[in-house]
Amino acid sequence: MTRITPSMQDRDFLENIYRAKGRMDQAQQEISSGKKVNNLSDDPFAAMRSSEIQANTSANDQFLSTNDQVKSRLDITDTALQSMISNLDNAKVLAAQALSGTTTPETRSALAEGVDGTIKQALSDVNMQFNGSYLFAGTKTSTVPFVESPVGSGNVTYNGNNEAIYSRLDSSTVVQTNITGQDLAQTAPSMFTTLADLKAAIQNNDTTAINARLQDLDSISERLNTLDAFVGNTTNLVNEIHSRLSDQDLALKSEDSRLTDANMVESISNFNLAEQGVNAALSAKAKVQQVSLFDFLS
Amino acid sequence: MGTLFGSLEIGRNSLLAQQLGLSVTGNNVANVNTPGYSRQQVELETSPSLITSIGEIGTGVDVKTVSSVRDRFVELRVSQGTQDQSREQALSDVLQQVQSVFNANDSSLQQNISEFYNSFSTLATDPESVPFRNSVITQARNLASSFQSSTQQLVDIRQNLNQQVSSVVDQVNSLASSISSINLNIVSAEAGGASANGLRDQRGELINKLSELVDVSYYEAQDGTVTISLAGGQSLVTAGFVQPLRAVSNPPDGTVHVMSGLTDITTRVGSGKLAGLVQARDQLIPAYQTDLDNLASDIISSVNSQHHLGVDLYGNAGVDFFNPVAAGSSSALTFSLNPTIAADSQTIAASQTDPLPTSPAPTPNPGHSGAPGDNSNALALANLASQKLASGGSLTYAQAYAALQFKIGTDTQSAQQSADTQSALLNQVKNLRDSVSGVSLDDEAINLIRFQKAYEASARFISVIDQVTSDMIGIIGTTA
Repeated sequence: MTRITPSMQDRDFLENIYRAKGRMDQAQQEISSGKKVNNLSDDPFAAMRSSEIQANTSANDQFLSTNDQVKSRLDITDTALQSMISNLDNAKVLAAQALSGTTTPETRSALAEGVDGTIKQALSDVNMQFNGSYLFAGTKTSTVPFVESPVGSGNVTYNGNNEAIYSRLDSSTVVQTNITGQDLAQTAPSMFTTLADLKAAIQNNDTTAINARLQDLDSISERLNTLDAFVGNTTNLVNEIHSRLSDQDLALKSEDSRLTDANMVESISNFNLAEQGVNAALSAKAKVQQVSLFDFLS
Repeated sequence: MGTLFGSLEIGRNSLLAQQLGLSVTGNNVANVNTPGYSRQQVELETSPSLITSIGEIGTGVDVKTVSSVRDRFVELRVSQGTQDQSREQALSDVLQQVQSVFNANDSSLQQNISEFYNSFSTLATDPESVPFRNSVITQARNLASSFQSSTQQLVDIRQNLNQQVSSVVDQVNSLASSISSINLNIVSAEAGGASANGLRDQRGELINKLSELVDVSYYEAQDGTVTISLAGGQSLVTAGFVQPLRAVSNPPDGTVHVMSGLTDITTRVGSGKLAGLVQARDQLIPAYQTDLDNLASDIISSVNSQHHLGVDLYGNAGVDFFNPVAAGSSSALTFSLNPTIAADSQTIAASQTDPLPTSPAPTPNPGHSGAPGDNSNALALANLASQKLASGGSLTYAQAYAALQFKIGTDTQSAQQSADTQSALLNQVKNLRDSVSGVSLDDEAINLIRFQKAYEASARFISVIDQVTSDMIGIIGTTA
């Protein structure tokens, strides 16, 4: 028969109380932090996955923010291109008027002034900036790409380069996101040369030349439209990727939540159970004490 | 034939014996809460009988001895259980500290690594932007700070463990010295043949305290002294002689080793708190540190390599981005930004130069002339985040760090569980010991009643004998 001594009873009581209080403490931590993984040792696998997810989410969020930047850039580029296209339409109208056969030196002078206006507008458009960087300078983004020298002469040189600027839209997509000044205005027929020649042709009433320049303007317009389509397609790609990344973000956050968030109902219930257990053990101990024969001997 | 005075003797001996029984019972009750106390019993035996013609006539009761109730095999199990539980508890406690360094939170190393590479991604959207460049420097500094701080905390924990090892050595020596003194006291106290119960109890308690610290194995020699050895055979206490331990600090990192005589027993102590501390300090923590260092080295070398391939805003080739690691030093501890870069954000090489294809020159040209608006090196640097570690394996930085966290988490979890299990086992064994040697108040109450009743009866007996003796004297006296 096993002897029972007060020391044994005390030891067992304490062991049970510590265990019950431990459960209470764990449940309380879950409730106050909202997480069931508060330490790496609570669930090492969940902690590891959560850490990876944190990194993935950070990378995703970065892509989303970069893509917003790229989108803004593309929008401004599109605006500039639209302006150039409509500017060229104005020049074509002026050229058509000059061919009408009812022009006088005065009207021709006025038309020539009009073309001059389109040159200025074109210059302004091609030197468009976004956040302080020139859009159409290739990679020489802090250099003014198109310079008219002397001013008002219509003689424009291109000081940018012909290099592409890329952007990474997601982990597997890198796209070119710029249009170089070379592609825009310098490829033959060159926009500024054509406009300058058109002005001279109008002034000289050289209808053959005016017709040739009109043709040139058409092919330049077509080129600009192609470039604008490229901008449009790239913008669509950015939007598509943006939406895919947003979905991924949501999925990652869900997984993280599933792994590490505390189930409040469960935690509260565990806490209550543990607390009841502690109270029961404590009050039982207080009542029972350690009854021995001494209590009954008079 | 027994004489009346012989009977008085019987009465007297009985009174003394029952009185002693009461006294021993009282001692047990007084010591019900004394740790390590073994309940004592009076061992009574009948006094040698008189051999007479009509048979043996008893002469009363003798106290043979007052003995302690002990089971040395159970006590051995308590010692072993104590050693194991102490080892696991020490290990678990240290690992709790370590895991708090690596717990996931908003300012963790994982976050800093992500934000560092993100800053290059932002830079790639506008390579000339001064705020974006400054942001890269800030994030690089944060990353350096994070690596240094994590490592420093591990260094601090190891330092603390060194102090604890020294402290354990001191405590072991002090206990060993006390045990050796008690050994000698027991020998002289037991010279008369009786058992030195109280001293043996004390010695048992000291051995248990020693068991919390190191892996003791002990046995009792013929002369009543206890011989204690540890760490697979190194002698600690032999009768009155102590071979003390020494805590010796080894360069270059000040790791404290434990010496017994000329032997380094640091790795040979198999159990007790010392074993847990040493395992954490010399095996687990250095392994975590190595993983951290490998991660740091990898980041340093891959970022530097990529940075060299680019050109900065001055048109110069990129310099080292992070300071290269000096041989023999911890790359995580010395992780730092090149002061050149820190001082001038224009030296961040975000662009690249490589031969421009010229014939025919494609339009646009995918080559790079290193103009300031070129972001190709910034893109490449940002993309390092998704590359596998150069040091081998199939993990990215993020995954490698997460894997380290997993390792620490599982080590800590298993140490905790182990400590809990050992604790429960130890309690069971201690209960077993108490059930043999502990004082039960019910037992002692019964003893009290027994001895009291016997005392009363013996006193009554003496009273009767006294009366009879008086009667006899009276009969003889009146005839004079």
